[in-house]
Amino acid sequence: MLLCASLALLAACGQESAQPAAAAIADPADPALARLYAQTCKACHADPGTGAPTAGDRAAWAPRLAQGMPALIEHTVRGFKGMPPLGACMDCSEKEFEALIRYMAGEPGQRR
Amino acid sequence: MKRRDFLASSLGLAASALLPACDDRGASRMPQAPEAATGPDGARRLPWQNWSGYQHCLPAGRVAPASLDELVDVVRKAPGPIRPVGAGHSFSPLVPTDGTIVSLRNFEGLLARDATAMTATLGAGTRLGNLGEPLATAGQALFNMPDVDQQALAGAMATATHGTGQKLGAMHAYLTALTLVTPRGEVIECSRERRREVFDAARVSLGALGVVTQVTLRNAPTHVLKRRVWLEPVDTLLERFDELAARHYSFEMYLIPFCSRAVGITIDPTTDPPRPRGAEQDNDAVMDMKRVRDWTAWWPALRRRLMDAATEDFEPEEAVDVWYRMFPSNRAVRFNEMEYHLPREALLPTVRKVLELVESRHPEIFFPIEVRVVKGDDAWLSPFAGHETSGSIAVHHYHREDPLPYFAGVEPLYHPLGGRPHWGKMHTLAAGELAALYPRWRDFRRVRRELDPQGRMLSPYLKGLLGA
Repeated sequence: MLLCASLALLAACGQESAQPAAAAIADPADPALARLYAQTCKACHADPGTGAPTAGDRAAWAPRLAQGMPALIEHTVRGFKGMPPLGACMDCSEKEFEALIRYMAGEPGQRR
Repeated sequence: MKRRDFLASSLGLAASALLPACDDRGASRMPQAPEAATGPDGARRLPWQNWSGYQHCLPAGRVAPASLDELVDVVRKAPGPIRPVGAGHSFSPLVPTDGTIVSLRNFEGLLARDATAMTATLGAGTRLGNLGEPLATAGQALFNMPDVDQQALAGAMATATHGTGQKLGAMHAYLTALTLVTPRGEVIECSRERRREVFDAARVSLGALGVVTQVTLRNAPTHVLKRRVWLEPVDTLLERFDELAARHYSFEMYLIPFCSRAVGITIDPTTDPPRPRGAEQDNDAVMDMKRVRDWTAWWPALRRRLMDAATEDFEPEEAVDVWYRMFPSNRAVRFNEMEYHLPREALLPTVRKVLELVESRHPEIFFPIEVRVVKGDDAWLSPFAGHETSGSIAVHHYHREDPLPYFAGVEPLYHPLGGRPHWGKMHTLAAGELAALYPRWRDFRRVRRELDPQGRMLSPYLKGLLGA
């Protein structure tokens, strides 16, 4: 299905994917959070090619954080664009979602 | 006029005309997950939804046992029905429950390996996307992988998830042993030599027998593969399908609705030097196909002309890399899916009918039709059981739009052929119809009753399929 090179002539690339942004970030300081991140979010949020905002890319996360944490958690729980419901963490609590979001957004204190 | 200018002006004309802006394509009919509720402990109970958002529930509990003892305790005592969940990547209602959802994310990773027997034991909650590196480091490779790697091993096995290849079985075909925790708290280790009936039932189990905690797979030595992607006219690719399927390690075909070209993908062992795949472009391509649909649904001839023009210059792509980077693709555009497995000889005539149906009656469809082949096996509820090779047709529908009219149109094409639905994908078959398709259906139900006499694993959906 690799038609984008040709179909890109027709329109800008899809809304459900985004321009990649490379970023490197240390693992979460909390080992439990680090494990959770590795098991769930990392598959998409560490790969710029997926279109998901990359963990540690503060510029990409800033406008998202500006929406407020309740909105981000609601997006996480219900799924948003390419992100699946519950962010693929089937047992996460809202507190864990918030910690994961803050870590990926590059907030101080969340990284090792 | 240059091609790009022609396309731009054509689309501009189309966009400025009428366009089906008032048609939400069933979006307003889509299921909505319930609102979060406050539980007895004062915390919010969050709804669960599958990957596409189509299936949902508001479970009493969502838990991730940290150990085997904790898991045993959960399956024995937690509010039922108990439903194990991996990645939630199934489109059929296998998970929804008012009781307890059990995540297997703490049962993950490479647990043991046998270099002589070329087997590896893995936690059943391991995501397919996370097992490639450790397996390759251990010198092993899966024989085959599905098109996506987000699923957990247990879910992939339970639903008979598969890749493509005439000589390649589905994921569960390579199982040599597994460990099952039953609702009575038994921990059963089974294989062809040990508790054979449980093994035959549990390889493809719909998660109805208990919770699988680890699996042992027969693997190949790690290796490098070459992946080739090309486009060619639909008719010639269909004519060459059998030859390509026979000649290549792995072969699949995508038919693009309202386009005169189809996509072929082959994967073969190679000794060529590495040449990575590069950035994933399929998601953007799918959304561009949607855009073309939105702008030209009222004028199919223009749609075909645009799609043909857009695919005219596609250069074949080749990539060479370690096995686990060659099979799966990133699928960020969510969808719902129906897939049926057919007798091999019925595959191509049926593919033609599906394409004809789409192009004559379903202009809303823009996702390609996926055509694959799978080697048969002997698990009791394997949809490939009894076939030397099965032919599979998968149809997809954008996750925000109602898939049912399309799926209801396609599904009757499969019934006269004895088609068996993918357990993790949408279908309408009920217990009686499925029983007629599976010679060991009654045996499976008997083993299920023996392992779970109280039906703690049976959600309302599963009770309808497998209950009394």
